[in-house]
Amino acid sequence: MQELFNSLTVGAIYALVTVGYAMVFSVLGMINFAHTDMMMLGGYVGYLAAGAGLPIFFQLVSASAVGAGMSVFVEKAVYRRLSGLKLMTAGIAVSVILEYTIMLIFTAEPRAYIPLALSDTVRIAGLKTTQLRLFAVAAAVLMFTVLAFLILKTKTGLHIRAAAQDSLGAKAVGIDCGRAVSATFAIGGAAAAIAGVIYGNLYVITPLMGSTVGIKAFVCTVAGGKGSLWGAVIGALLLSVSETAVSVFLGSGYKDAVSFVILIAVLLFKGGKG
Amino acid sequence: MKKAVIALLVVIIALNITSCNNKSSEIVIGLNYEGSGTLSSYGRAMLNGARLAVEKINSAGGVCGATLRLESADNRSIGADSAAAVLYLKSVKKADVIIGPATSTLAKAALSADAGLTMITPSATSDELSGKLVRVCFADSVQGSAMAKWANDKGFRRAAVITDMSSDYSFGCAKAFREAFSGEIVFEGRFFSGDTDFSTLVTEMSRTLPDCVYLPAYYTEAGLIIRQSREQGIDARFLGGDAMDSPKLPEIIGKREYINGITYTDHFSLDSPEYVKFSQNYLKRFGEAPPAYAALAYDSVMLYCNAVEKIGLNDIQNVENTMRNTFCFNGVTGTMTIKENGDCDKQPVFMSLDTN
Repeated sequence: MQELFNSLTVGAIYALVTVGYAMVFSVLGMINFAHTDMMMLGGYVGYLAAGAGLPIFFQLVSASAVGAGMSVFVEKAVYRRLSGLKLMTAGIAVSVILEYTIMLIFTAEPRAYIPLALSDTVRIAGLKTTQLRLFAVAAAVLMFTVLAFLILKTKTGLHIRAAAQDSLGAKAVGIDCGRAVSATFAIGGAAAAIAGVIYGNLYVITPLMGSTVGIKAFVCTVAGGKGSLWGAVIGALLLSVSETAVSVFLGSGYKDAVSFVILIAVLLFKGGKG
Repeated sequence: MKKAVIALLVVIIALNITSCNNKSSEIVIGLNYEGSGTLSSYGRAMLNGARLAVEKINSAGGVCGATLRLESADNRSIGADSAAAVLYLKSVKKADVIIGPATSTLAKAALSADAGLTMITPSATSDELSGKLVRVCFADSVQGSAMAKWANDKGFRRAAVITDMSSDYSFGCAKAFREAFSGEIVFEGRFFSGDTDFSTLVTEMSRTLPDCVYLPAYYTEAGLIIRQSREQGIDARFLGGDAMDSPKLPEIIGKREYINGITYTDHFSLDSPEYVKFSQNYLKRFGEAPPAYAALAYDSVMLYCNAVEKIGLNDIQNVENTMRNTFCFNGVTGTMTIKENGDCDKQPVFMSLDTN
């Protein structure tokens, strides 16, 4: 039971990152390789906010604002002008530029949040955990509830769904697809940045922290259906529970291999051309 | 005329038999260090320690009249870059000796460059490096078994051992600890460098009720494992190796009450007069207390200069052999004897972090 809860915390972070991947894929058909760098940026903004003595709420707000803003900036300045393979390549380039810019500013040294937020240990139904791990799960649930509302019940959400299903048709009926795409990037960037703040308080941050999580979020996206919001959640939980199971039965040294096994299994058994 | 020629020959011979003959006016110290990446806390300390040593030697007139020039290459805490750093220091910077890197895995990578230069490592402790370089630190077998004997003496009977599978250092220390610990090893945990979430490993470990946890790991992973263990209520004493000597360790552990019940093997005692003097100079120069890695890099440069003083600049190619037979060299990290195989005969000291 304790292990299951541990995996839920990790799954919450994966899910928050995966949602951006999934949404951008659904709208543009693009795997945005720079997406997890919004998580990294969020992690560093939260780190500065924590150092300035701001509580976690303000860490999250400032990080999500920067994550959303940077995502939209990259989309408008770079992605909008490109398509296909050029678009994917540009994503890799943006990722490298962001990582090494942060490395120049902060160095590559791992940094810990000082002070750690919500770090007190709590006991619930025999489980030992921290307030922050509970908060991570709650934040993910809340975020997905808000996202579901936003996408299913608002006009912006309707435009995003329309752009995802048929961008030409959406344009024909007067939907501003550019704006819908920007909204998608903003939501994804904000969610990833929130994950970055939670990650930073749970662990340490580095300029390359997005790489490992990025691979896993990519696997979650593929496993969950490459564009489905709920698929992202299912993919994230599938991966985190699998990692925990491997950690228990084989040792935690092997858990990173799980994501690749799942990726290959999904690619082999799901069929189709992807 | 004949007398003048004889007198000149006598002077020339006298100059040659004096060890400090002035063949070259500059000795290049090449520092292969972890300037960035996950081990940069060690590398930056090494750079500062080496700088301090070079400045001290040069302000005292150099070695045999030659000044020292420090050239550094950041290996980014990556094996391939460590090998490239050695080649760069040799080919581009014309280094006479390589100091570094700090860690065993990167030292092995540096040796693979086969540059033919003398290498002195301040802190690479793997036993597998014996005979391949000179070092001013003890080996893993020494610190692992010393920690186990300390645990035996303190009455610990149930040990968990957590090993970083990507680190030679971690493997070596853990092996020596297992062999020398007289109690029961109740848990074996494994992870890879770069892992961040250890909650499952910690949960599994907590069920085995260890009274001590041997964790020979670098400071990032060690800090996270200790933090996550304390969060799950594990109050066993954490035991570690010299890699825990970093100001980043308490930062990563995070909460003050968690920085407690930690003991690790280290290279020197904070109370020794040599170290106190070094520490004051370091504080004055860099504005912070020196980590062990700074003191070890300082000693590495000093050991090299001591050997050059003995043999002179004309015979500098034999400096490694001279270093390998150094008896009772008095460094800031203690008195050390460098054995024929390049290993350092020095006993670890025990450092504890106890805030309560």
